Amino acid sequence: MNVLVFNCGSSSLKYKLLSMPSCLELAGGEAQRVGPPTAKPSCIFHRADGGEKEYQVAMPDHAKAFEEVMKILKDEQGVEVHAIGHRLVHGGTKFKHHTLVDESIWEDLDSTRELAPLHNPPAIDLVRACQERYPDLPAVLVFDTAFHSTIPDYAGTYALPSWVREDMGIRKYGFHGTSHNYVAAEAAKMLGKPMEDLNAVSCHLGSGGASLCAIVKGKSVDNTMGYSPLQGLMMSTRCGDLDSAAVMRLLYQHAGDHQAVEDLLNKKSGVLGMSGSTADIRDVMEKSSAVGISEGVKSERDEKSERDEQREGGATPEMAATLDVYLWRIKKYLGAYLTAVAAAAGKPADAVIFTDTIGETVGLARRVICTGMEVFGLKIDPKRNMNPEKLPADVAEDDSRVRALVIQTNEELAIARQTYAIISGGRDKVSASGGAA
Amino acid sequence: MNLLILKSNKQDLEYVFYRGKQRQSDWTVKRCPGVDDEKLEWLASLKQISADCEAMADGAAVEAVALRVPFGGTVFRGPTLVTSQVESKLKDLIPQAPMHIPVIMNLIEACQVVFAGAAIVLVFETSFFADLPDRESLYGLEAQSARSMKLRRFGFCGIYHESACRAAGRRQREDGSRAVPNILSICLEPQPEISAVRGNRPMMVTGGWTPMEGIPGQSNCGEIDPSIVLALSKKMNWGPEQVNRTLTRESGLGALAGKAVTLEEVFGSEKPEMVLAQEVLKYRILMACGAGVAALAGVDVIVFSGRYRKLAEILGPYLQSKFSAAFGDCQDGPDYFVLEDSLDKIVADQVGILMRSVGKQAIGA
Repeated sequence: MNVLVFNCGSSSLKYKLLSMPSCLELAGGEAQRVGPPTAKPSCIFHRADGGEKEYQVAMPDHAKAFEEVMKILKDEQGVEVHAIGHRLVHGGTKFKHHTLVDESIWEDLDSTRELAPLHNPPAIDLVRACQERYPDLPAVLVFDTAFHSTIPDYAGTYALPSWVREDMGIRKYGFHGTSHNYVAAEAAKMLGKPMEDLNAVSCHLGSGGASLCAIVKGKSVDNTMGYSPLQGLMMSTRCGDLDSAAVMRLLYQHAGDHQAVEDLLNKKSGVLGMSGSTADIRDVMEKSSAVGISEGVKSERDEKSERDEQREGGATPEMAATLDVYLWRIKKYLGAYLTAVAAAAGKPADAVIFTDTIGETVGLARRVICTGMEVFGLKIDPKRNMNPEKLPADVAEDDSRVRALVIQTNEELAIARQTYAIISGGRDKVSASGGAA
Repeated sequence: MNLLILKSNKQDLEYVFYRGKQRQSDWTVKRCPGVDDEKLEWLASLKQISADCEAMADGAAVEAVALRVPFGGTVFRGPTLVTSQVESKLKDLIPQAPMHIPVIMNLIEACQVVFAGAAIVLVFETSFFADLPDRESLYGLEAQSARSMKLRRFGFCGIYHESACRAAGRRQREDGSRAVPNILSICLEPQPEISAVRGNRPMMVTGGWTPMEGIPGQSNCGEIDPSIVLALSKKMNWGPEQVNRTLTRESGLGALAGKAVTLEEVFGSEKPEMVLAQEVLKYRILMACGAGVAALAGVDVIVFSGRYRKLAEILGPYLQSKFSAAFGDCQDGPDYFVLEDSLDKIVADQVGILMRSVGKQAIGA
């Protein structure tokens, strides 16, 4: 079965065609500059047979992008699509499981638009376009939030009045579930144990968004993101955790302009807002040695080394502070989740998993985050960590009770697996881990 | 020394009086009904309090007045004797704490009238956190907004935390250790707060720019997704004041239990409606402690303080067992103990130290 996976961004459409169940990748690519005209023309970068080809074509919306992708696959490459897997960021309370698309879903699906205003509307429009154009092609909605539907009430409930929690559907949903689920399953394989026995903390550290997930017996029990993807770690342009009173103060300062505050917290804060120069933490790391916390929690940044760095065109004080805050928050959440996992499992976690761009490629980040975690039984091996030969890799010391695993995430493959499981199993719903709901 | 300790709580003025080290009364609430002007109200209340104190001191005058101050920013780093310079610095803090500082300034003024000649000492809840490391105190906000509005983490139960950590250090020295202890300080006030402290230096604290952040309190929501504030404001078409009222007065453990509750009631009842509140609180405390252990790279001792410190009987063994699981290898969880000192005892000690250090004569002058 050839499963076409769509990952819909606000102005892009990533896709991958996989032959299932072999997981062989047949093609992939990305439609860029989807939507209103921009300075450069819209185009599709299509990868197949080891090469890449660019197609310049007008794509005023995601429906048109989808049609063009289907045309390329069929006309240029001659491959059939047997099913579609759609990534949906937010399923709200209505979609706790991945779901086969049929006529009954639309009302509930449309109600999730405002939960993720940047991501859900274009993805839902794409699902509708696919159904209208190819009504007989089976399609599955794979929700990032589904993996977190197992978060228990004590971790997922905010201490807010019941009318806020119930009428407004405000609770912790959690995000990056597809990735956390995928790398957890891969970690279980590496450790030679069934997913149902895995206790771990998964660190999805992307160059954009980032979250940690506490996993007990293969199920998510907590995620640093919350009602929205804003809560938790500091990210490239998102502030992460922030005192609610500060949000109110910002609202007051901006004369009640919600959009201005939303933009400030989501698009102008985080690494970009603090450093004042870049949204990518790797740029900051290149210029900074993270003296402050790389030695554990012993000392503040050495003023002399800071001055030397600046003289040599290195990190500015703002960059140094940005890096310290970025890594410190991950470290604190890692400690919290290692404790929470052990508390629920009755024994220490099996592993800490690092994934996505920063988690997979930046050894210094992993080293700083894991320094001082010996009390939890986590000891990273500096050599293995800085130079893993290939991924996946275990970069912990031999006698580390908690393993440190670096695993490449593959959300498209995870979506294809979920899609295949639902369609081939003849079931309309499966749980996030692929089992029957 | 005859010491009067005051704290203002919304409209009420509470006081306790010490002769030497002997406390002469429980906290007493004084309020003058029918007086609309705050300054006049403080004056009237303080005159009554002065008479009460003189009666308790066999006619002797109050020699020092201590005021507990909830907020001192990063300016005030310890107990501070009031001078005109101090009043000026306090005034500068009004934009950061518009609800608290004007009240304190009026109270100082009234004290200067009623207790002329007595030393007036300010004891700040935030002093302990004045040197919180940047990595802990900074928010991931756009720098200009954070700077202009002075948005940073402060911490708000510093008086208890500082005393708890001193006690932990003393115990460690008594046990013959000269190592600097890693301490988890758990202050069980109506708005609980947890701090991870190395020796006497805080490395992490759950309180934030205001006490709203962190662990949920009796009526306060604690940490929530920042987006929820915007969602609430948009959905209800509310301004910041209305959102603030919901998050600080109608939320917290009471909202989870469906009625107003104290921390003690949450843990002391097995009623079904208390289960969620109890589980949420325990989990959030556990998470904060786990973060604290990571911040310190270990933990030697847990100290409980605050008016609900007796809950250590429940939370102490709970945390020990969970940390025992987290640390593995059959390690016991960290020891814990309870700081039995009340807030006024701690304040009295601090004022005593300050007055000895500056000299009684100098203060009187």
